[in-house]
Amino acid sequence: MSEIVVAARDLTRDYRTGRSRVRALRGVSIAVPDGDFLAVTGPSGSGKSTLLHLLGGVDTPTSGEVVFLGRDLAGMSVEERAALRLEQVGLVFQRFHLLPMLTALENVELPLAAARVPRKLRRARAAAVLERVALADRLHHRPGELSGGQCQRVAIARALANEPALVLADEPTGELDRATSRQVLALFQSLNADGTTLVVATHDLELAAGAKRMIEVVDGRTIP
Amino acid sequence: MLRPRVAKRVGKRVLKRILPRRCALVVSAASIALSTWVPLEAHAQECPTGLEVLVERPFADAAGLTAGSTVVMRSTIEGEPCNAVVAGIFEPPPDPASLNTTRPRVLFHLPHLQAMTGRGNEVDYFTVRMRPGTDLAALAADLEPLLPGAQVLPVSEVAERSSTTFRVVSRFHTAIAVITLIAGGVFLGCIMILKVQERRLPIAAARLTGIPRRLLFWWTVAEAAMLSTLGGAAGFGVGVASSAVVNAYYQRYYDTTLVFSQVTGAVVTEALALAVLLGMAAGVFAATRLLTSDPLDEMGR
Repeated sequence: MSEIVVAARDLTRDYRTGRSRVRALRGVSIAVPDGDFLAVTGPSGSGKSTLLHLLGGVDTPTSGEVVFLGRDLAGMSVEERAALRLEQVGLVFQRFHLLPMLTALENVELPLAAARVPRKLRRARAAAVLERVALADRLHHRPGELSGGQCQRVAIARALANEPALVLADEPTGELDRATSRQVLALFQSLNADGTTLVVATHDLELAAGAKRMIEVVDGRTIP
Repeated sequence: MLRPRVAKRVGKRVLKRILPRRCALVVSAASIALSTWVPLEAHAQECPTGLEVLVERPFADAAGLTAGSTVVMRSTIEGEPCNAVVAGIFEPPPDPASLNTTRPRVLFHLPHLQAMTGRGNEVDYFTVRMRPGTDLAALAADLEPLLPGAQVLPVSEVAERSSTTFRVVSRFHTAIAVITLIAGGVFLGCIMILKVQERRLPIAAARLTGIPRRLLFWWTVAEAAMLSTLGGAAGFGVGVASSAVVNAYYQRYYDTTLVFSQVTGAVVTEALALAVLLGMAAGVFAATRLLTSDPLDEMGR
């Protein structure tokens, strides 16, 4: 049986907006085994992004627990969770969020530098990851010189740089056209075939259909 | 280091008179008194024989005088006109105090001047160059009792007393510089905040991916310091160029060799140090604002 990368049990997450309290997640339980490719779908505001943030240790639940590679995130400090994310979690955002003054190579190098990977090694590894996402000819281009699809592939390369146990992608095709979205899906499938574990929150039914399995989040609850 | 000189002020008023003719000439005893001060008895005004004068270059140029020209000199408007030969033209020493004066300077031999003015026993001041190592304070203390009514001062103190106007001007310059630096610092701070605002989302994303705040903080500060150093270097270039333009313009305007603007090593060092410090302060301010917020809030949660 595959090792469980991340497991969430009975998660709730409340937010305060002014005087009112919003419950974004209501008792969600989920387990992501190694090598999984899970699509999380659902309407806007249903709690997909919140679930991803909790699985990645970006946010902390109001109640419930998240166990990442056997470690309960509730017992970890902010710094420990940041270190865990740096080494074990790759994040891909809808709007790429690349640093505009850095080249593609430097953007991918950044998490490696933060993880204190030696300069030569991190340069070689960043170049290899960019080659893996078919951007070997764009290493020294800045985000402003790249298309949306290319930027998202740089962002995916950045997420893969530290060879994480889990890649979380929040609406990764939300800013892309259909053809480019298909390229991103193909890339995810290829990465997954190579052993990368992926959880993708998306509205894109074509992307969701391309995943190994899918769950739907509606009003903070999962519908299998 | 100041040359060891002692200045001495003797007697009443300075021997200065505006002489007749179209261009008034100022008679100054100071320069010639350097070497030929001799106490003489008072006598009637008269034209000395073989009267020779030196004329300052800008006036000579304006009046078309050359060495060998003849000019008419009077000690007062009613004084006896005396023919004088221009023995030479001299370049006036650069002196900010004389920039706005329209009175040209002419140098006389002291006996000639005394004869023309009839004030043979009066000398305004003279300077004495001392051998290196002379104790000026001790010498001044020894000399003053011997010269009743006289003041013996080191040249540095004479310069200090005569430059109060320029000290005031200098304070104005300092005030302007301080205001400019404060305004520049605020401007730099605004630029840094704007730059940081532009990167709010990528920096928040970087924090979410686990890149330590410390790294992002020092990165922002280093970038601000680099930006301000580059700005400082550009400012240095602009300063040198502006200084050259100011000097060229005013030296031509006032027809002088006086240096109006100087970019010294000390000024450059202070300016660059201040620029880097201000840049780092702006970077710290901007980075603190950026990194104390919740990255999820920045991303719109």
